[in-house]
Amino acid sequence: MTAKTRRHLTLKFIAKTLQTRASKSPSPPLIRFRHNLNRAYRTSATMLFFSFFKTLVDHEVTIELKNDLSIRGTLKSVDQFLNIKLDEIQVVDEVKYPHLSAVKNVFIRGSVVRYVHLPANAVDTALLEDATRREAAAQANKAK
Amino acid sequence: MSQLTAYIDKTVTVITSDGRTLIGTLLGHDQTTNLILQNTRERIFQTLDTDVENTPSEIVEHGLYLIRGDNVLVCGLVDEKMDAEINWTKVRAQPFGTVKHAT
Amino acid sequence: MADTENGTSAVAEPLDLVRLSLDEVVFVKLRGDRELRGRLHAYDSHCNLVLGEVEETIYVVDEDDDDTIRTVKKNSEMLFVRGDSVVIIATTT
Repeated sequence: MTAKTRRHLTLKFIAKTLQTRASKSPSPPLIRFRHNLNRAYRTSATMLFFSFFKTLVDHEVTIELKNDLSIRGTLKSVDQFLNIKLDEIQVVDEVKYPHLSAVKNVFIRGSVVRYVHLPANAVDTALLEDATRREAAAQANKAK
Repeated sequence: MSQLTAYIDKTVTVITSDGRTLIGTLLGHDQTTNLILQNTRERIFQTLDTDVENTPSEIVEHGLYLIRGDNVLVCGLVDEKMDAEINWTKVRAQPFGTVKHAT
Repeated sequence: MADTENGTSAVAEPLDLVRLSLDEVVFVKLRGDRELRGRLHAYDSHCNLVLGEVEETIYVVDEDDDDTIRTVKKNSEMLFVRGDSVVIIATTT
């Protein structure tokens, strides 16, 4: 058995133990209710913008970070935290910020984004407003 | 699959919330963007008005680093060929602003 | 929240005011001495926003000129704004 497979099996074992332990211990109804509620919020709270960004994959965007660095590039992927991956990047003021001169592909942490400048022709505003109303209604229903 | 998995075992540039630039091999990461870097170097750039012929920008060796996710702004995949063509001691840069996190 | 029972048009919580501003021009105040004016196309519970035809105003202290306040204006055709920078969302008349 190689060290790699052994490590893999150990991790699998730990994961399985935790899983069975979690399913065996009966959580009190209130805790379980809160847990489900939290889960529901977590999955839906950012769903609107997560879905929105997925429709913008392969479009050219400019991301302005909270440290004033602006990076232009092709949107390649997005996740539930709105972390974003850009390809073929260009830093907007490269003379001032040459740090990423040898970088073409970046991962940007969602929490440090200030703005994302988008191409207006890639956004269906009527559809987006409808989706926003639906999300607001879903949130209101959950709050009841 | 997480977005950073594609960078594993490759050289990356990390820009942190306190404005530092770290380069290293990405060994691992998790959901919260905690990163493990091997053979970490920090590039300390001279400011734009500095004469880098006399006072060049510095490269400091740090070794193995674990960077907490909160402090990661950007993690970029380094194009080794492009990177080798740049004499980083002669590169000047404006310092990044720091990022305070919303409470 | 009992008030939400009488239909979706009721204003039961602060974000309902924002919902009524959809497709209207809003004023947004942000962290870091920034303001935006633009048409609201989307928002969520984190105050993440999408604005169209945006004018951004940044207030900068000009240290070279006796610390006077200078404004910088920028325009964007479509802008996503991360909610954690948002301080105020106001309707405009």
